[in-house]
Amino acid sequence: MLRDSRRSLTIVVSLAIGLSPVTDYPFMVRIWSAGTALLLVTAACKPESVTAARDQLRRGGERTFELRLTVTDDSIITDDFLPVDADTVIDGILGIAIDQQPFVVPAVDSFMVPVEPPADAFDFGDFEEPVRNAVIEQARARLILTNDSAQQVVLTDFVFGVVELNPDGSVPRLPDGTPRYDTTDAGLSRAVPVTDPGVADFTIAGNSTAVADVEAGIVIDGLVNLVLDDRRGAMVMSGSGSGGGTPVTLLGATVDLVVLMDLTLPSAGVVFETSQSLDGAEFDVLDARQVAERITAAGISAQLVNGTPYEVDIEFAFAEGDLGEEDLFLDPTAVIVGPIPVAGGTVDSAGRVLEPGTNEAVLTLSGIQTVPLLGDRFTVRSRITIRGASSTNRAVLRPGDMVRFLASVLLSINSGGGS
Amino acid sequence: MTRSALLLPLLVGLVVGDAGAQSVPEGSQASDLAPWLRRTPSFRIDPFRHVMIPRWGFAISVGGSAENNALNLEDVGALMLLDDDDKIGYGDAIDVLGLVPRGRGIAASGLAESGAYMGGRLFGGLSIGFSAQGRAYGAFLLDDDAAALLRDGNGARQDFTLGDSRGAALASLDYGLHAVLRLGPVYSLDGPIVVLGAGGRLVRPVFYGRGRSTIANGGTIRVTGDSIVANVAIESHYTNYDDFTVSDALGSRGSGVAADFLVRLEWPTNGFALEAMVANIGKVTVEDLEHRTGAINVSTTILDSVIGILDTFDLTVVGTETLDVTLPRIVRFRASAWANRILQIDLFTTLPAGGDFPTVIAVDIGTTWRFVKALPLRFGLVVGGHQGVGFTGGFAIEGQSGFLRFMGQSLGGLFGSATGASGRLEFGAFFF
Repeated sequence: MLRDSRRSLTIVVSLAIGLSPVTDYPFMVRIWSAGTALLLVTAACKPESVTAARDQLRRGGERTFELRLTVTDDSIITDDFLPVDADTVIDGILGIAIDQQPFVVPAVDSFMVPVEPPADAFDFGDFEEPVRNAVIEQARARLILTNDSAQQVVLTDFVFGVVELNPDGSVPRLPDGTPRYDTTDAGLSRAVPVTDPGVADFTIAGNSTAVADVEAGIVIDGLVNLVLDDRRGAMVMSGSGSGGGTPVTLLGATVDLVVLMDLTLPSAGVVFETSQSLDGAEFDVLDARQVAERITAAGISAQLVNGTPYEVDIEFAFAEGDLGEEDLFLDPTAVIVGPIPVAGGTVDSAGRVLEPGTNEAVLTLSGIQTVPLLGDRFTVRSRITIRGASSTNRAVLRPGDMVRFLASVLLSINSGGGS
Repeated sequence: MTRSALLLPLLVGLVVGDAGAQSVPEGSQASDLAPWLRRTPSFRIDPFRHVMIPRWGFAISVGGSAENNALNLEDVGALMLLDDDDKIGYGDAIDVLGLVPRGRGIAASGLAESGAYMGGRLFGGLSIGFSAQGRAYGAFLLDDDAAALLRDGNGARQDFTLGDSRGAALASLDYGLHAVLRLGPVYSLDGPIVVLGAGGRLVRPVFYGRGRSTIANGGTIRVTGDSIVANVAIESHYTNYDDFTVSDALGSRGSGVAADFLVRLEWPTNGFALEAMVANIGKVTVEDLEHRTGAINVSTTILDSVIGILDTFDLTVVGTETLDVTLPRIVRFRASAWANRILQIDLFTTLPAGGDFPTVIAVDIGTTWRFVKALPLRFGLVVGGHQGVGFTGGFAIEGQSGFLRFMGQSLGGLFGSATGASGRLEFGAFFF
């Protein structure tokens, strides 16, 4: 009896033992025995090839090992990356504070003072791409003006605006000498007047400080666009003033800026991509291939909760290795999943979220497509397309608005069922 | 040849042998055999193994048995080959886990003993014997509630527990004194001979180790697609030698005693024997055990954090303790009978009766064929244990001056299909 031809050596000795009937004892029944067997295996039990070894280990009944792995379970909450305090939440809308920008006004009889903020003054974090492509609808500029003289100062034609500086850093001017403020695509000047309520000018008492809160969305939108496009932009205060007949020579001013997340997005949406490198299942190449070959079904289950007012499409591309910021959507070897649309939350008339939008999607992968997830590291590039609210494309973010990404992969891995 | 084909002749022999209804034919091998030779040797713990010999002499023996409920020798061979080629992959591991029987978890146990004996008849029917043995027990169980996570994954089931998972091992030196008293025949010349046995052993532990869960029911492990919640805690005790000395080898880390009792009835003229034995009753105190504990209490939605915890998980030394270890008590019932002039059939069952080593019931059915009186051949079946069905074979030379016995067991299948194996070698010589 050779059990299997792949065994290297198996010697079998069968010994049949016939027992004679015991006839000399009255109670003894007739005994016969067909025999018994003696097996002497003199060889080791090693199979002769790797294939035969694997067949041996698969001798168990066919089973399915199901492995559910969390690919991502994360939340992006606006609070996490935007400071939340009384100065950055205005009327329930979350804002981004910009570093204070100091102005020095040497004389107020006729002044035009530019301040070129440094490029890093505008740090929108993960919101940079949406902000770059969106229209900032609201930004609060708080001008704090200090009159060092004992005389009252009255500023007229006081304007706060933005200009794109000339290559030499000078402020472009109109023929009348006033700054040539930027304009919107629609031709609106990116400058706003600064006045006391109900009057056309702005008064600062002697030896005192006055505060002017200016709705400066149109100004900051222009400035942000310039800065993020690596162009030189500057905030400019201009106007003229008097000190009761006596020229005032020094006036200190500081601008506090809060850019509210009140944005109008383009109809095509704003696309931004992020990359993340993660630990895989840490199989070596052999293991990963071996497991992939056994995968009978693989699916990514994604549960998305969109607590923002924006409609979002999410697309993933992943590939094996730590690939940094490489655009995996252009990599033919990358596996692309999605896009998965998630509606924005329902909003009130002010664009504030009432109920979050949700979506649950199950996408199928082939076994070989899971290989990148099985190695040491893999890189996921997420492409998120943010669209505005369907009617006006304008919406606001509030503290606590969030997007939750939950994605898990269920691998059904076949085992056993061999010879 | 299939397993069933091999079993057939043995079963037929047992059935038609009519073991319980006959007497030993006069002039047969059976009638001419010394009573102690009718007590068939076994692979299992048997403190009265040699003291039943009513002649002065000595014996040395070595034996071991190991079994599990999942891998057979060919599986091990396959793993060895893959390991030699450095090709053991995760898929192979899944296949191996697929061999773990559902509902039973992963179980393994082992027993090894080796030692020397000297003894003989004092007077009348009283025999005594001294023994010195090295003995090791070990048992391991990974509860099915825990094995399922590795075997089946977390797709259909998310709640797991360590359950009754545990493992323990004890190695000791045993110094024994046993005695048997043969009385009879009682009632009549054909009446039974009553054999009473008792003895004790001084047990000196050389090594002890154990690991187990410290949370009732093994704690909880919940692995879902979006979260991992685990609350498990384990502890270990083990003998930690900095330098292993001769004193350590002789068992300097504690002491204990074990008692053994036996009652046996023999009907020489018709070949019956019934026996009951209780063995290994006792505890051993093991000192200087390093006590370590560790716990994982995590509730997270981030898999990486769990991997980090597992990567850094380690048992922490919390002190040194002394433990009282209950030896694996056994109760064994044995019956034997002669089927004909050359065939003796033995049936005995060994029941675990507590102790710190998880063992399971097993039934041994043995046949001894004496075509030549001094050259017995032994074949048998083992049912139970971790392996299901096993096969026993052996031969011996049993003469006036001594004996030499070889025995082997293939558990769970034959040879390559075996999930366990036993072997035993005994040699004895008589002085007079």
